[in-house]
Amino acid sequence: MIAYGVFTSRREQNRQRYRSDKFYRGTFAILIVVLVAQLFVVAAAAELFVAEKRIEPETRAIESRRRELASEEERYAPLLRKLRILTSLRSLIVNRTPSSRLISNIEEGFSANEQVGLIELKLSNRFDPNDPNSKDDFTILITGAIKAASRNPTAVLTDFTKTLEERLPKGANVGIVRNAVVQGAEAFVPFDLRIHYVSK
Amino acid sequence: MMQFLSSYPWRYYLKTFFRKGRTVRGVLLVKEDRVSILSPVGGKLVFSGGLRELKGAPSLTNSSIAGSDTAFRRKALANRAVNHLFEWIFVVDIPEVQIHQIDSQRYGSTRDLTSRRVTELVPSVLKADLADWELVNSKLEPVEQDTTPVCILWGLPKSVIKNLEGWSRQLGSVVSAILPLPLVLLEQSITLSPTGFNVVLTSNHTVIALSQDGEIRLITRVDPIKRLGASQIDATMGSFGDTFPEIAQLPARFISSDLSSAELANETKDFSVPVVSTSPSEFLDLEEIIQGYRVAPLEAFALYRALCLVPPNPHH
Repeated sequence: MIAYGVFTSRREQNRQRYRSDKFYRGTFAILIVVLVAQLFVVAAAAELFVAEKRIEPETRAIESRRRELASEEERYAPLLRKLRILTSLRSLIVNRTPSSRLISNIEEGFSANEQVGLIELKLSNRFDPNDPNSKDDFTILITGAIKAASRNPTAVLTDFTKTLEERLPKGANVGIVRNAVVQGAEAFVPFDLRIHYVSK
Repeated sequence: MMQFLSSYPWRYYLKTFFRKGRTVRGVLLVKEDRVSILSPVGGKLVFSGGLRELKGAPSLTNSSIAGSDTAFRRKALANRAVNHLFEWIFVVDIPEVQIHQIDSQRYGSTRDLTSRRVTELVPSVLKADLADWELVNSKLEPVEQDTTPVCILWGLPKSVIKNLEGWSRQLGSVVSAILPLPLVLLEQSITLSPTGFNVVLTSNHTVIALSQDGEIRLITRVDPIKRLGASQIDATMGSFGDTFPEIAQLPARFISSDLSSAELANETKDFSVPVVSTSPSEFLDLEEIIQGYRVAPLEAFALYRALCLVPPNPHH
């Protein structure tokens, strides 16, 4: 036997080296894989394109609606701001004890004690409207009078004070500023009470 | 890259995506006056001669076009499965083939046969740079395999190699080897007569080799017998016989793919040594191996020998 490739050129010998069926078949398989992958990519791109075309009117409508809503949001921004504040104050408003209720409770106290009469009632509230966390802080100053002819006015005032504490919401502090003390022959003995109530 | 893609056998691999391809080999004898082919058709080797006149046939002198619409492709290559897995072995006979005997000690260890090296080995060599060179040992095997004392240097013009490779490339096939016809015939002759004179007669050369146990001891190339005459060849053989008298006593075997047995016998009748003319009858199994061999039995068998001489592609 002589050598394979005898009297063939270097170029032909190089061809012999790579022109094997295995090499060609491998290359062909790679090319097929690449081709199929490209077909898949093209098919996927076409499908996406068709889908995009199909939902384009819907997309446009949604975009238009979105713009509309944005302008509406802008228009109602002050109102929304107020709503947000109100929402934050909601619990405060719901649980708030109105001053009218305190006065009503005081009136009930006077009704329950016939010997005690009301001369003046001053109500003040230290609520800060600029502070969202501010609470009602009521101070009520009552000036009244007790009939001197009856039993001891001091005892009557003490009973009246207890009645008020029962009638007023829990936490209300009732204090005697000026006791009902008989000083002469007046028919009525004056007294001053101070009620302090902070809403919870 | 572009060349690779342009010559890629798309159609073949589309057809055979799920099955393995099979390498097929064919031998083409290309001479100035004759082109013959031997390759499998339907699992059997089929020989066809007289193809030179067909348009698109390979040529030694110019690069012919082996397109798909040529007569050679349609007639000679029909059913021969010539595709990119096809491997050609060309057997050529041209006057420019050079044969020189080399002393392996002179050849040394260097294996690179440049034209300069060839000129150093054989100062009388002609146009060393225009030829490609191959060195074989005395058993006509690669010298790298076994370096024998006698080596034989063969030279073939680069233009011939270029033409044949170009022709094969047009068919998308590969060239396994290009063998000079004298080399094939000499191997065939030595196989039949391992010891004695082996004389190869072709249209362009007469190769005289003296072999012993299948190894060549002396070899020379002279002009063809028709030009030189039998007496000159007889004289050369006589000088060889002086060197190895014990071997020279044996009958000389003559072989030729050009001459018929009768022509060969006629040419050798005046030789001073006993002559054995190689005849097709010596190849008993020829009929079983090759279909269509009767056209030119020795030529068909020479192509068959060439097919057996070249080993399978080591890269496959």
